[in-house]
Amino acid sequence: MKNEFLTPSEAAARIHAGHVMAIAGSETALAQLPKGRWIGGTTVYFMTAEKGGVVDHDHLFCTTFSDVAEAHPRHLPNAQMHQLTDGYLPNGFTMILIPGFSAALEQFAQQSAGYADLYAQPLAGWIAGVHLDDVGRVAPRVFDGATGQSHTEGVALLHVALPVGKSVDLDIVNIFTPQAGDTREITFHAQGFSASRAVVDGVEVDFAQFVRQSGIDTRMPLLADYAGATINVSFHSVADDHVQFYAPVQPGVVYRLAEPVLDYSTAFARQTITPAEGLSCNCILNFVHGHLQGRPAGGYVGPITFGEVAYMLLNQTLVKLDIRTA
Amino acid sequence: MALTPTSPQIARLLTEGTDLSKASLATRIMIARIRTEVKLNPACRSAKVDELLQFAANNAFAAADIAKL
Repeated sequence: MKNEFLTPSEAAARIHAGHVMAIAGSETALAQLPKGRWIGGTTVYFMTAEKGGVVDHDHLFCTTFSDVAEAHPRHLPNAQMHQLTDGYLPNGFTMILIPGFSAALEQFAQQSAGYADLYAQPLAGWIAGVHLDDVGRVAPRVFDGATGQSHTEGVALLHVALPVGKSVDLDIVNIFTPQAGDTREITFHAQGFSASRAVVDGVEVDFAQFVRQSGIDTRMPLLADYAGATINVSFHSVADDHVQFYAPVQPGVVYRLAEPVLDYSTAFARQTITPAEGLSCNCILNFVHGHLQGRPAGGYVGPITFGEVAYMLLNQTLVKLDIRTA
Repeated sequence: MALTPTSPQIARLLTEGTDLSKASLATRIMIARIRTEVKLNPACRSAKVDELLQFAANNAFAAADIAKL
């Protein structure tokens, strides 16, 4: 696997040569690419090896999967999203890109846990975004290299099979930990991207009022323990009567408040064993709140995205996928 | 040895607090979902155990994760 920050013409040459790629970049840059074995998603934020975090409309962050046995890019509309695992290839993995702010994103976040065989092979990806100044004005897009078409709904999938002797490792890096001094347990009654009520240590509360009165720093996510994996749900906004999130809260799951992170760059560096040669993506909220423009994130490089996927929708999390020789 | 609904690993898997930190991310997320569903609706335990056994039977990595318990 190889990560490169390329011009559209350089990326096009790779595609013409038959390489299998996941590509991130501006809509203008992605639209210049020829048909081929690739999928893409929009973002103009990147973590690069040379300059750390950058905003760039002209270059494409290209992850090339070498030594691939087979690869099938495709786009699935929302109505067929539940069929995404039908394309899983033996001894492989699947990349998924979803447009931010779309019905597809809500559908994936709320329904994918019930898809047949979802966990049968690594499913990794990210949520396409736009420049923060363009939010609400320009729709994020995903690209299906097989057709060359871009979409503001549905999911772009790249199903990859690896040769015998190769395997995939998918994991997450989460720099957030539960607050040591605040052990309050928060639960919600229903699944949703917003909540008006919650139960805090057994007491029913108006959740928006609770967040305001408790002075909660909403730059830090809510944290849930998924059998040893810490899963974040980030705050989007706090309205008068409800709180909006970037991923759905789930009933029955216990959430905790997060310890403030003062230096994101150092926090990522602490969790990096070796600089990633594999695919990784990191969250725009970490980029913004951590002031990562011009600063590294512990050796990891990749697109900065509007959410991440490792089987499920994640927030403020770094997802990394490595191909290993078994 | 093949897992069955009465295998001790199954009871441990459905118990919150059991350490799965060495398991794959897929197994951890899957088990967490099943634990939550059983917690919300204890009547679905048998169906969820079946789902867990099927998951382990279909995926060698999951069987290996569970065998470590």
